[in-house]
Amino acid sequence: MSRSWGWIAVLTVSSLVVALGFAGDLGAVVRPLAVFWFFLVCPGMAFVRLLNLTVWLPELTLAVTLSLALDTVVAEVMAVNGWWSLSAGLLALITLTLIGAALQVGQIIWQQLHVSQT
Amino acid sequence: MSITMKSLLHSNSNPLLNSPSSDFWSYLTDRVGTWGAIGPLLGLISALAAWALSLPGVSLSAMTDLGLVSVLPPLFYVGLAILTVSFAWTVRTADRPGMLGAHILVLIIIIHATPVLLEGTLRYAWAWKHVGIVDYIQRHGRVDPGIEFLNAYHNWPGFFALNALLTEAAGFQSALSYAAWAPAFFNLIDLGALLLIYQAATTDRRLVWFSAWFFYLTNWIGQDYFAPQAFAYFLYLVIIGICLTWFGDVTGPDTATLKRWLRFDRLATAYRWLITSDSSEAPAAPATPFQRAGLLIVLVFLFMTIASSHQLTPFMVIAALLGLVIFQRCGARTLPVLMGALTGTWIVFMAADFMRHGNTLAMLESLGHLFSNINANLIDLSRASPGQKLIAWMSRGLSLTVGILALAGGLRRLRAGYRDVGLAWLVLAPLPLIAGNSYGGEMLFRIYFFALPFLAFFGAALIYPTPEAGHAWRSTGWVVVLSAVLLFGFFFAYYGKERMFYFTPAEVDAAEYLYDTAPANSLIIDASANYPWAFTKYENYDYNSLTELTPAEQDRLWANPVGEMADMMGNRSYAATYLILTRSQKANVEMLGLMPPGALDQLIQALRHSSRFQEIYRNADADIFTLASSAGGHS
Repeated sequence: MSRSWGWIAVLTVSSLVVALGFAGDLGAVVRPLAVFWFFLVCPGMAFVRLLNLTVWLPELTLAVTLSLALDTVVAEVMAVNGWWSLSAGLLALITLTLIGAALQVGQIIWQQLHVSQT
Repeated sequence: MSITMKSLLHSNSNPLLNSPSSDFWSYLTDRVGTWGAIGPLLGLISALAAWALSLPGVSLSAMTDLGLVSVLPPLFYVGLAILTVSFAWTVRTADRPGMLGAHILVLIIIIHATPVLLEGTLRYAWAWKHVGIVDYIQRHGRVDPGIEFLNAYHNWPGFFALNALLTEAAGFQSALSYAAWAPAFFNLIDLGALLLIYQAATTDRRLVWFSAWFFYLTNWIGQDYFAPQAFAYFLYLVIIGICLTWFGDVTGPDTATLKRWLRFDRLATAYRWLITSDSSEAPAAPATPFQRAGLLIVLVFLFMTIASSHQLTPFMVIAALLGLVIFQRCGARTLPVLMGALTGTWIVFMAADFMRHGNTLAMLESLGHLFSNINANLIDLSRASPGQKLIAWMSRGLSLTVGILALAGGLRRLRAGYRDVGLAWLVLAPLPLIAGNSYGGEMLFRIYFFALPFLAFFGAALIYPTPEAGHAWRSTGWVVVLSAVLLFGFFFAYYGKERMFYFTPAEVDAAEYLYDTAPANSLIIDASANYPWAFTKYENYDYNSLTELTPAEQDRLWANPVGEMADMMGNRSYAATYLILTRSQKANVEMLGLMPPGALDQLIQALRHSSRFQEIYRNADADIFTLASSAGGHS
């Protein structure tokens, strides 16, 4: 599995775990760990990977920053408008993450097609 | 892995017997190289072990006005000494970035995990208040920008909304479950942003890592706790890092154009000098148009998050980027204008309630009052305890030392041919804000905080001004000496107020009892707002502090404590009235000299012996009183 596919898999699995944790019972230890990992890394990494930054530390830093920003905007929109809903907030973040992961898939396919054509 | 005489004499590969002298030196170098690999690892493990072993014996109840320094055992400092020497050894060649990163990681753990592990409760009264805003959002599902008390937080709610969502998603009842770890967390993520900035400023890896180390040894301000400021600061650092790393490749105007713009030859020449990049500056990272467009979107998005989360940081970002654009260190020229528009939009449309609460007038009144704004930031040392006087002077001394070191380092860089105009601007950019506002007595600290990453760079440059300099072992020695001096100041400055920043479990129990017991529309009176307060159902109560009384009112209170307190608590417009007095409040008023010595103990004794009051809760560190006629609790 290449590095690109590895992150797509991590993002997808993390989204699923958080969704399962909300729907079922992941336990008092696993659930916070899974949620903190997801909130801190996943939404941002889903989009930062599209930039192909190649160096891991700036990439991770940007992913954490963008994740926190996306989490904040989702939560803030709900809090300011009185639409507060944990399920809606999680759904929004999971959807964003999966959209980013899907765009990464598209980018890989496009790059492979581009390479094979040239 | 030391070289013994026995191994030299009996080994087949003995360089003394079998090889020419040059091989002997390469043999020695190999051995030192092996030490170079293993030594820092051993240093790290030893430092961690010494630190971990030092903590169990610490007795917080023995803490004096010098804070944690007064109770930390020698083994704690031995661990730090080992870590410092190991770091100095490793940074000499800086060829193992992972190991250097691990050293800074351990430094962050030692500095910021120590209070959490020793105390077990959330430090800083303000942090409890912030937990209260998160609690408000969890209970109401919204913010209330028109709320009377703490309305700034409801008008810039980003950080609190994020934590409300995070708390619920993680399955916690309250942000108290993790808020105590905020300083360790924020300092950890700041490291990535700092490295981004330093790597954009220099190609010298020693300077990059020593700057980061320097930053953590001098970040004594305590703005890294569970607060919007710490969150927005991280975003600020990343914005600066992105601009310098990927937008730093700017082609400035030619001399003819400059002369046409600036009219005066000398001005044009000076500006030309300022905007010309040093050959030594790290070149901007190559970026495709797609990457730059993506990064620009990220920048705007990060700024929107800052603008909706914190009042002050947007202005710091705009000031910083404005200078970077003017001095041709950031090619995204429209960003400051766009950010100004975003900030204005948020203030006018989303924070309108805050501005209507009389805050606009207060902000306009403080404009231009430079000296009163500075004075509002400094504690009155004439009333402070001797320990706090020492702490205050140590804090000021550390800040001054950082400034002097940075100035000397900057001059050394300049003499070596480096202009560092971008970073120099970032040191200066926050300064004008002191003339604008005292920011509740915190502006000086915030200015230091925002300038610190860049002061740290210049301070570190005093030892590593150029890639060619500082390779002698003497420089490694200077790294150790400088680190020791800074650490000495840091521990007094950062941990020096711990006696009042720390809340014992008994104090937390008392505060929880109060908020469980007090009906809505109660008045809660304290000696000073330095205890775990407002962390739940905060909007249901009104708050008063005895330290807010005028000197004449305080004199009357100490002359007739029972009568005056009964008058204060007899307001019939409240459902109930409570007086809570805690150990940390006493520490606060004693250390800062806000009340006469022993005044609170005398007040407690007077109320206990009065039939007009009932002590409804009492433990080793807290007392809660109410008027006897309305008492319903337990003792």
